Amino acid sequence: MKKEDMVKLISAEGFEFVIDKDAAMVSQTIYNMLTSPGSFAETQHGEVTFPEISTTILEKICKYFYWHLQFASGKETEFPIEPELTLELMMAANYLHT
Amino acid sequence: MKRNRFEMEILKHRLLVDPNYANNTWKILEHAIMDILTNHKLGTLSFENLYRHAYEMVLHNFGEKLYSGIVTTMTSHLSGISKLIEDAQEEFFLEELNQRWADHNKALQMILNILMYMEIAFIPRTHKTPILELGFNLWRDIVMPRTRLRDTLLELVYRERNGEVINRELMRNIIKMLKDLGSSVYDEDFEQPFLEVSADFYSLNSSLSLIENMALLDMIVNDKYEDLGMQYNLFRRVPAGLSIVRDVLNLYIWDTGKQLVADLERLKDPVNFVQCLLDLKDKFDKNISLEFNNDNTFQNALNSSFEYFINLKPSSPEFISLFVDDKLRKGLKGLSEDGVEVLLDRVMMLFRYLQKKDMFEMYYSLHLANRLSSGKTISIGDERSLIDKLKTECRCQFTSKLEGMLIDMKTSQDTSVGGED
Repeated sequence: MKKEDMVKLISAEGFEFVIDKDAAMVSQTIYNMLTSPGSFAETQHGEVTFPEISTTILEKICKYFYWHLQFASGKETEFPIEPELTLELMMAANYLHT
Repeated sequence: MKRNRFEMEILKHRLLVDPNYANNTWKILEHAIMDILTNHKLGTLSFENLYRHAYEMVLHNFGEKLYSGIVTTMTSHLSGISKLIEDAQEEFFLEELNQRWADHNKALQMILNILMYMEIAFIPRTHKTPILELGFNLWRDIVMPRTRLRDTLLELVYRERNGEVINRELMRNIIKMLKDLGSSVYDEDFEQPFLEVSADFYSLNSSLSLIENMALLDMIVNDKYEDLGMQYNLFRRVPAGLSIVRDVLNLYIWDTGKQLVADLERLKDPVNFVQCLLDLKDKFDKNISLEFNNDNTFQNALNSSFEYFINLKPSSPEFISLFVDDKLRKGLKGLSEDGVEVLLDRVMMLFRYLQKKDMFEMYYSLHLANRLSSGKTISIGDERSLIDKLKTECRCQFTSKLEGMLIDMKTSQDTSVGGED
């Protein structure tokens, strides 16, 4: 669990999720952020704040990232989504280009 | 489809109260984009923040305002750059141009990343020019000092031909820039004028100057693939040009080959010798395929050179057989099935160059017999494979003799082990 392989995602309420970079980069947006030339504040400190994404949603998204990494290797499982989260989750997914 | 449905849902949920929303948001983005273009304040800009502003502008139907804002901002910035370059002094002109181009590329990539949502959600449906292309076009139309650049490049070529040392890397970068801007730019601004000048030059000089020969040689020896490719493309269109390059390559191959064959040290190590042969062939094959467009005449030249110096050495047939012997004894460990195929094919390639194939046959039978009788062959399959390849190649008696040896071997094995198949 090297520091360089992890990134911190922070929700609107300030909750911090420390996850693997590989997982975070399932989001095309985060991928572009971390691999962009030039230095943005986020890459300097290894943390990204999402003031528009709630803790519940961000947590769900982090789970999705890991699920996706597993799914990519062929295991067929469904990603469970509680119905009340659907809209917000889709909005966040659109935003994160996932 | 699914995306659009959710976008509409999102719009319904957003309350648009502030009439100045678009202007204010654009102002923020404009400042950030200018910072990026001028290389300022890096490390303090927040990707998320900027990305979100751009995202929301597009979502709220202000994509048009965002896009035209970018065009305006980039245009005015590049006008400034254009002036800088115009004012650059002679000796610094190319370097300045090169540096600014690198800066521009980096800035474009950063801007693209921030505006990615616009790029994928707004630009396609409105058929606007994508961001990178836009950036290149603006550069080409506003900054590029085309006449001065063309003249400067031709001047450099001229100077090099007269024996001066020029900054090749810089020139290469500039030419790459021309290519990135579109092949028509490259053609008009460099290739065409270059060819005109070259045609004059070559008609005056029937052979390459010493300097040019050495430059070419340097490229070949040091595997400067990109340089070679460039040279080939240029020479190709000049009448005598190609044969000149071919001659230089030929000479080099002959020379290297002869040296290899004469090397007394190598004579002691057949396996090493053959490996060197293979590596040499590889290098030139790569040269020819990457740089010289798989040109047949080059390939033929390579083949005849190889044939010449392989046969210069009387022990070549024996050595090649010893090489195979060594490999088969060691069992070709660590090689995948494909890897084995490739190795055997390369041996076959050398075999084809041999004039004294019967000598090879003699040695090979000898070595095979040794392997079989001392039980030193690891894979009968591989032995089989090579014999099959030889059979395809030469359909001669000796392959049936070799096959016979294998069958005998198998029979005796079966007999001793008790019929295990």
